Amino acid sequence: MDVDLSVNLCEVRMENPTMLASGILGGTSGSLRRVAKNGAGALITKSIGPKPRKGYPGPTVNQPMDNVLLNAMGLPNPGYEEFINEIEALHDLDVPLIPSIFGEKAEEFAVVAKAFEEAGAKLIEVNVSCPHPDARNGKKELFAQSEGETVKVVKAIKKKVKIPIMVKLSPNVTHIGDIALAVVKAGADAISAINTISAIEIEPTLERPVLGNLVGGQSGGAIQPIALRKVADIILALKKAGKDVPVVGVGGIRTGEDIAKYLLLGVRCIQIGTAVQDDIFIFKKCVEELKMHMKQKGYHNLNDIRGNSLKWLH
Amino acid sequence: MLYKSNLFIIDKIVIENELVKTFWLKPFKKISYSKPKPGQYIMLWLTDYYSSVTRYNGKTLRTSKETIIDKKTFEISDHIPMSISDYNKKEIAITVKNLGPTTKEFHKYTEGCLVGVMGPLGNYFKFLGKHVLIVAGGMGIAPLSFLIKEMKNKKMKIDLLMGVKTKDEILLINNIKSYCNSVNITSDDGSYGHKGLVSDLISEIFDDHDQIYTCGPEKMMKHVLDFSVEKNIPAQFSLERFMHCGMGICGFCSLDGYLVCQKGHILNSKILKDIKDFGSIRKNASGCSETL
Repeated sequence: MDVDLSVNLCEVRMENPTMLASGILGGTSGSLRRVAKNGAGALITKSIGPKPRKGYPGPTVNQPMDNVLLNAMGLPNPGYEEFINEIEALHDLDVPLIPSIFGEKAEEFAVVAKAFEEAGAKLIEVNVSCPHPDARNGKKELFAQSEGETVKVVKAIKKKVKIPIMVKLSPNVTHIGDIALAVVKAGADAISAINTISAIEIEPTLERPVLGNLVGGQSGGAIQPIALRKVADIILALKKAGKDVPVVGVGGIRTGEDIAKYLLLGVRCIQIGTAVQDDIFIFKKCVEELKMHMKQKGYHNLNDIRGNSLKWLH
Repeated sequence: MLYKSNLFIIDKIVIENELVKTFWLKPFKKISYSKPKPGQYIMLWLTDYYSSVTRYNGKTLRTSKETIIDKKTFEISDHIPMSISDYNKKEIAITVKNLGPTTKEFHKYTEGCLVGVMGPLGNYFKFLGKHVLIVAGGMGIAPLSFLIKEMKNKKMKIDLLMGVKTKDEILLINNIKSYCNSVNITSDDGSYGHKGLVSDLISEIFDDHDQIYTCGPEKMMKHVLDFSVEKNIPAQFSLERFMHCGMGICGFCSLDGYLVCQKGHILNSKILKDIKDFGSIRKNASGCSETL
């Protein structure tokens, strides 16, 4: 019997549980289409704001060691008005397309969310955990690092739009479970986690940070155990409060077994980002590996595997 | 390979003309990197005003001349793609035109200054054909001169067609003309060679060529593409697109989904003829579409 890997995330149906994470190849219709053709179950766009933004000065990325990628792109994006053209160019795609949005203020999030709802989006990811603080101009905190600020954003968006929203949280907090719960109470329909972990790389001879923005965020295989722990904290906190809201796992996924680990903690589905950088075929590969793993375990669908490891963590 | 910058020291600077210099970059410390192939590029990291001097091994080194770097215009660093124009004994050459704020500051760098280099990156020209036509437009000669140098060992018969705006823009030609069977130059203002564009001359020069190589303004390359399709001759193109990262993350260099940073800069006519953005649209730093 074949394994059924289909997923329903806030009424968005996906053939498999892999989503393209925001920020990787998601800024143009051409590259999004290419990822869709290569087996992603859903696509999340680059985070789009109210107006065009150039991003931070280079270097915007740096790979100090294996399985570690630092970035401080600074959310370069053409603004929602122009980006809607890219979305329209993908109208024939049979893979769900989920816009990721950001703003400087809660109201800006709401404006962008509304525009995408009108353009036909069925689900929106809300990026409250980026950009990396603008170290040169003294901005130190993200929305996602303040429960109150994040709740404000969620409420502002929910007031304006009817479609479900998924809020992407930052790991750079002490109690991510508390923040997740507050966000859900404010009306979030799903949570995705984690965004990058705040990080820095120093050039030892020049004695200075490498990234143009000085500081940035770390992604890649090395963050996976940290991300799993944060996801577990979120799921346990929501469970304890009796909130049945889907959680989407993100961080360091490169294989089918990596996906299984997240599913075992109870996520609805997962996102792949950094690993797409050197392997566009990663989605197909991961899905095949996950299928194989589930067959070996005698599972038929994702509900058979979801949450099986949580019993160790109560 | 890790996508990280290694420090290189500027070993030698060759002034090509009023606006163009060739910088020879030598690894600052012992590092292993693959020998660059013609068509590949590096991401060049220029640090900002604030990190202009450093001490190492008893010597004072500079990333830039603090006295000449303009604090106002270069308060922040930059990371830009640069085609490799030559290679010799572990030294990489890049030929840089003073064109924008970053290249303007880079032109102030002197021998002994430090820069960061990530690469060599991207794919490269394939040595195909026995009698090849090379079409260079302006600064496009930079990667092509490296190609021509490397072709000399492949026993290929090379005809070079080069287009410039004016005679002062004729670059690097002395290094390579001895490897060419013929060299034809066009200038927009008629100050050298044929007055006009390379597209005027290409059918005249075209003979029994079995491969075309080209780099230059995209409008010119579009002509070369149309010409190569019409003549049914395979061609290879060195492309330029805005890129934030150079490693397949940002996706801003996407040409109908082909990432120029990873799948390029070199694309062949078979792929390029179906790409509708080629010769018409590019993304800027914000990802907004711009008409070429």
